[in-house]
Amino acid sequence: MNPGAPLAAGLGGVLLFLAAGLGLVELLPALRARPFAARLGWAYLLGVASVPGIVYVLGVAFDVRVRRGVVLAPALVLALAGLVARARRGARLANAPVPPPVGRRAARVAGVITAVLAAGLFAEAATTREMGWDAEMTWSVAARWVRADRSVTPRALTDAGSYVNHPQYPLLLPLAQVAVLETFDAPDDARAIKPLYAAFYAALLLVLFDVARRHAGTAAASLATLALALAPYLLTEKSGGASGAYSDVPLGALWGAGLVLLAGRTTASGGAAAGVLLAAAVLAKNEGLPFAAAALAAGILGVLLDQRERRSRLRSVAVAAVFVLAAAAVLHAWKARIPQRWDEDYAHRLGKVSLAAEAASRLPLLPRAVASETSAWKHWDGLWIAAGIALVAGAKGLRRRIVPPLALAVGASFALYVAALLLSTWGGVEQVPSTWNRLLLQMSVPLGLLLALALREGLRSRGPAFAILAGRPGVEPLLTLRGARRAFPRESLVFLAFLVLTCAATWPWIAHLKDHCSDRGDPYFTSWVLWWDFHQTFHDPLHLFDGNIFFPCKYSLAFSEHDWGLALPMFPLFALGLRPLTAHGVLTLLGFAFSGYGAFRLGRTLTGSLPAAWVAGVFFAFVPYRFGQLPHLVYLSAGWIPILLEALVLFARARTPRRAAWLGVAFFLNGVSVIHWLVLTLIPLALTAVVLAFRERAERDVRGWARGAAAVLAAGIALLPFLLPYRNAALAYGFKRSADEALEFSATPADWLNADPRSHVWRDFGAFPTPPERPLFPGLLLLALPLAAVLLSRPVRPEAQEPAGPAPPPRGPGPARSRGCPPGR
Amino acid sequence: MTRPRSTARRAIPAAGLLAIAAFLAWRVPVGLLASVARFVEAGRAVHDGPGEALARQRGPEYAAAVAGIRERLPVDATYVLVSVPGGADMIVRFDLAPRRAVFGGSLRELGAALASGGGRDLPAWTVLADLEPPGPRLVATRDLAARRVER
Repeated sequence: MNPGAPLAAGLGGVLLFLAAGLGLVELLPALRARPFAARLGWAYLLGVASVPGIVYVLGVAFDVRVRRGVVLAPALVLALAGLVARARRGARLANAPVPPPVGRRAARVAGVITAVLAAGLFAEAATTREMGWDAEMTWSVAARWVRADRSVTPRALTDAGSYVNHPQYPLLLPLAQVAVLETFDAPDDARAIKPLYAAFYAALLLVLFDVARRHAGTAAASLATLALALAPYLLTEKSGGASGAYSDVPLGALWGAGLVLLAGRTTASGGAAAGVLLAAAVLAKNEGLPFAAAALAAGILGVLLDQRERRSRLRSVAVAAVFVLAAAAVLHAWKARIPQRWDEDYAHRLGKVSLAAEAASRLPLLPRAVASETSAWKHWDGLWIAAGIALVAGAKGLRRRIVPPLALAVGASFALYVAALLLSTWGGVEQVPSTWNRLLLQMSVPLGLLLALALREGLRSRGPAFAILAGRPGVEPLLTLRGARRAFPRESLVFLAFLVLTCAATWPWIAHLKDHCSDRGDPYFTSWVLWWDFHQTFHDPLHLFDGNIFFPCKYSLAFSEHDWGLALPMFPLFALGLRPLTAHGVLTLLGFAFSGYGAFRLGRTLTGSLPAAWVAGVFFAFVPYRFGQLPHLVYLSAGWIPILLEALVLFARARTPRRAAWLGVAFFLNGVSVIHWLVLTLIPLALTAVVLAFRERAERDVRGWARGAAAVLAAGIALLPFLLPYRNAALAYGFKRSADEALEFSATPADWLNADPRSHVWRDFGAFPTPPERPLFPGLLLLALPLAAVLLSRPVRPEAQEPAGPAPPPRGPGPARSRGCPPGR
Repeated sequence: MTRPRSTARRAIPAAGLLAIAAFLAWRVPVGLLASVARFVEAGRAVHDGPGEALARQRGPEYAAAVAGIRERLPVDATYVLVSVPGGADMIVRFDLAPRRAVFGGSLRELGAALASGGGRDLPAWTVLADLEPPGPRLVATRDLAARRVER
């Protein structure tokens, strides 16, 4: 057999359903005007719903045999009908409305990332045969029996003696498998049918994005869709996720798509689309029928809540109900031919057990089991925790007409799940680990839409809330009492945000801050330095460097970094009795956060763009190699470097005395905090000053630059008391770094490909060099984002830079001038 | 006094964005890396035939054993499937499909039934499911009774 045959059949199967679905979409006015990518998502779902669905109906009603012609006929008819309809209407389609540009870039980024994820999923699906336990036990084995007998009632199912688990499980997905294999004459190979399931991942996300965009806007839709796309359980789980061949993702996509159509305003054609999708849900999985009933109930609630379009919506629900009832009838007729065995019979159990007694014993255990699964890091990586925060924070955004129907459908489905657990013979909550996460996937479209609505509220509040976070670039407001009072809340919030991210990135350190550190070497020493800075500053500041170690040597604090600038903010806490190791831990976390805040400020000042500033801050603070420096407080505390550079940029733009003063202050604070950074920033700072002088066309402003030089000189003089002891110690004890030492600690080009083993993500990437300071791999995103910027960004159009109307009055030099300036300004 | 409260209240909706942004900041690199790994793995497996793919998943002994049983049992045959703890019987049943299985219970139950003269209408062949090497085995059903009697 040709090794490429399964791959070809898998790809061909996806295209087969896509072609049929695109034809159907063309026949449905409610869907055909949507953007092309969205139509692809709807089309795939409708294709899988219609082609195997028709085969199923024909097989049950007329005993039509399952063979290639029977599969191809409906697919071709639908595709041709769509082509004809499109050709007749072609000219009018060209005038389809273009979505508004707001959030388009976010959508593009989310789209690129999701496409990479989907492509990886598809590549895996087409080349590995692992499908997950239930898939082999139930659906895929049924597909083989159906194909062998060419019947929807194969002997294995109808013969009561055959050993079959869940014999009455609906056959839509097995029929879809058979349709793919028959159409392309492929052998029974799991790799040929798995792409069919992987494609549901893309379809679900496209549909979610489409409906979320309509209700919550492009940016919120992009965020919610991307969050779901990255959910580990959906992306990588074989037993339920898109990586296997379970029916949960298909059910989630089919049911979710039908539900959101009915819950929103739609026409009769939308009702027909919803009906086809919900009918497919009924024929795809046992819980599909009650779920579809919940969706119809949601549609009826939408009708009751909508005064204006009640009649039109009622019609759409009625049309959908016809399809659902027809599917239920087909399913009932099919099940009547299949002897039940090896399965749970909930209806039978309902008459046998006392629900109240089961509820009393099982319900108390349920919340904990459900919470444990929902928050399980290995399944969701915190998605539902983040989504929960977003839903609570953006609760105001949920006051929309579509929300009550969605809540009803989701709530009813959850209630059904609980009822099934109560009736299960398998012990109830013991079933939660294997079923709850799959239920969340089944609910993913409505939950994703609710998340988008909540995020929309957050994005809408960008005006007040983000103004607080973004504010005007520059530090000048801080240098006046009034300006500082105004800027303080927003700057504090930015810093707080970085602190929260730090706690998350270094978790669980924050929970053990009191008495833990990264190792027993440098942190113990640095803790002593910090405490000595505090002690000696208030006891004998003129002998700050004469530490109480290495007695009788003088200048023992100068044997290493003095850290006085780092210890300074801890002085009040030391006075309150904080222990040195705790102070060291606090400063370590603050070092991450302050580095992020500093880079945020620099990014904001350079680009005038808030997103760019956040990206800069997050990368600078949490670049993987920073985690390799956990024992080295001084190297972690790099926040003054970007702030000093920002001060220089601001000064270059307007060489005022106030900005010169801030440049001097930043220079001093950088130097007094970490001597390494003082030394290592001198040359880059001088070169940057030269470049900026020419860039700002200020090279001839001798007086202005002299002002800046004077400020830096003053800062240098102020630093002398902290620098001279090093010279004295070097002279007294002959301290000198050799060239070999410098070479040993210098990175080689290969070290940029070596990741620090402390990183959870990159721990096995590259080698771990010695000395351990050298792994410098910066992570994939830091390399990929500039590429994305080149590929995705568009040049700013001149007319977009200035608003229409009279020219604004000229403004003097100042931080506000740089707001909205093009990147690089 | 009203200003800080107002500030906090206005920042609340942004907290949701921040939470999702933190999730994305963590998951985007991990997800993309996983995709890269999937491409690499797919490149290695793309030329596998069905047998090699099965061997890659379950091991060469299992793949060889399944291939052997498929050769001996016709596609429309039925066989007795002995259930084993852990559910290997369901995996084996899938790999042998569309051959139809008849439930044989555990090996002990089946042997006892056969030894006592029952199970005359059972298929001639029985599959003893096992995912571990040497994989599933095909045995004549009557031999199981004989073994039981011998004991």
